[in-house]
Amino acid sequence: MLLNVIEESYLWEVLNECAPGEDWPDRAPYIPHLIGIVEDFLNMGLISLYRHSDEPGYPIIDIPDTEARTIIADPDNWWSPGDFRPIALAPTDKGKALYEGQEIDIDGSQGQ
Amino acid sequence: MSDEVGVEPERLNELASALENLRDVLAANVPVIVNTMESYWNGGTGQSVNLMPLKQAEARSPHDAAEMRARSNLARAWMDNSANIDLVTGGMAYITWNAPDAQDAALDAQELAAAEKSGNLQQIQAIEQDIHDHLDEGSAGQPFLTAFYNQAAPQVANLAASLYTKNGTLKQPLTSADQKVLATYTAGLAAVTKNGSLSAPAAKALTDAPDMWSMAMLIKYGPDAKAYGPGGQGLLQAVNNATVQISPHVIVDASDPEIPALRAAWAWAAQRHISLASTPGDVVFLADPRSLLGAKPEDVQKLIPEEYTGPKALNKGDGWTYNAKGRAIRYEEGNPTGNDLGQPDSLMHRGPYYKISENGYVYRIAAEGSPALSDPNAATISITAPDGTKTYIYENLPTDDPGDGDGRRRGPRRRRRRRGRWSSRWLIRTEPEYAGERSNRRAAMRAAQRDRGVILVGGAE
Repeated sequence: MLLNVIEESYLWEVLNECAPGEDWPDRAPYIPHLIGIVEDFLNMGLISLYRHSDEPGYPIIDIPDTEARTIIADPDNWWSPGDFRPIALAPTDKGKALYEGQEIDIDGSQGQ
Repeated sequence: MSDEVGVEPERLNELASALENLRDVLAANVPVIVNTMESYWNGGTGQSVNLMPLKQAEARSPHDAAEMRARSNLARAWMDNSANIDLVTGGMAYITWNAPDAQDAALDAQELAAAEKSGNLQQIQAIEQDIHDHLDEGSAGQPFLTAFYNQAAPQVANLAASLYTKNGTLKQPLTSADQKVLATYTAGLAAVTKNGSLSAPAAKALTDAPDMWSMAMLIKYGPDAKAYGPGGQGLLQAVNNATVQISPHVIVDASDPEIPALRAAWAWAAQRHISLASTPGDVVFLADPRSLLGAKPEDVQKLIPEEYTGPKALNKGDGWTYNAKGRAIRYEEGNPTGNDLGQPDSLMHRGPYYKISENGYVYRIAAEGSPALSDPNAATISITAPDGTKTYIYENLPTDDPGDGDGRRRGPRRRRRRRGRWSSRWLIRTEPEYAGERSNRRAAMRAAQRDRGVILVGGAE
């Protein structure tokens, strides 16, 4: 999961890699479990969410943490048979530090 | 009017263009005018007038335009014929004015043969327009169409192959423009078979064409079977009997001994490997993930199918992503200070790599500049399967640049056996359960090299 965060994967990519199943409906039952993990990451300040603009060349749109919780909790943002807007994960400084093996304070700022 | 007349080709061309414009204007507006006026009159508004002359003019205009274009074509050909050079006086060409269709059809047949030989797409499209115009004529266009197809059948049969040679690639065998050309040529052919006027030699040239892929593609982009009429069903059946469609663009001879292997290959490729198909049923796959090992990102970008959108920048990291629904191709710069978690591919994540996600599979492949490429203990490819299992491939690239001529290898080149025995050529596991996979892969390779319409990203045998 942390590697997917560092790679700035979309939620559907996390589902694709972290949930078993030959096809999307087979993976869907695992979404609630993944929601829990990503919410934990968010609560620990390890990740943020963003999405790409619909217009080519426009800047990336950061999603505020307050809105991020709602987005993460909606299974349709992980996968939907119809059109849906991919939501990407990104590491915070603390998340990146964790990936690099540094000690971090999950309740406060990054430690050493 | 005498049969042969002198004409000025340029002015005749202008006249033909004017009649074509009139035809198009009438076709676009007469139905609207007639319907609008009739709705007024039916509603009690105004007094009706006779619109029959307008309808007749519309009905006649395709024939007039096509006939004048035929004369213009003949005049141009006359001027282009070096045999007439001594006869050219005052810019006049001498043509048969009445019933020029048969001569024009013969001219088109000759020009189609020349166009296919030289790859002159513009000429092929000009003839397509002639066919289109004569189709618009209805029954009046039959003499031209019959004469054309009875003479040009071998070239018509070879048309798709010619278009492939001109524009096609394994990735896109026939462009949408090519398909439109084929559709018109096939519609003309269907009109002739429906009319029962296709000669036996012409029919034989179509059913016994040297390249039945080309013939099958002609039929594929043509009208429904009923458009060919009873007289064309034999032709359709013959093409159908002579060929077997493996995938949308891979059509092979029905007697091909490899058909079972080819079918199995496509089934395998579509289900077991990365398929980046732009058309449902097409097979686009990385025949061997090694084909991207050490590749430059700008080269990989050229391989990404059109339906993927991108490149899109990452927010925090360096790299890019292209994505289609449920599929993504990424380039990650990696993190040189990333923690070593002791995984076989940990080193790969410290440098640039590609990540390809699709259909339950995730491939991570070391890109140019990856430190893993020169470390025999580091996995350079990791594959996550839909069941969550991971497979690692340890394949190093020689860091010697063959272009520099020094012959030195700057890094080790070793393969490491792990979780089975790897073939030195394919890096495919060779346990019995994988033997079929290897066979399918080889069959797919052969098809890619032999037939049109297979997208093969590297890894050719």
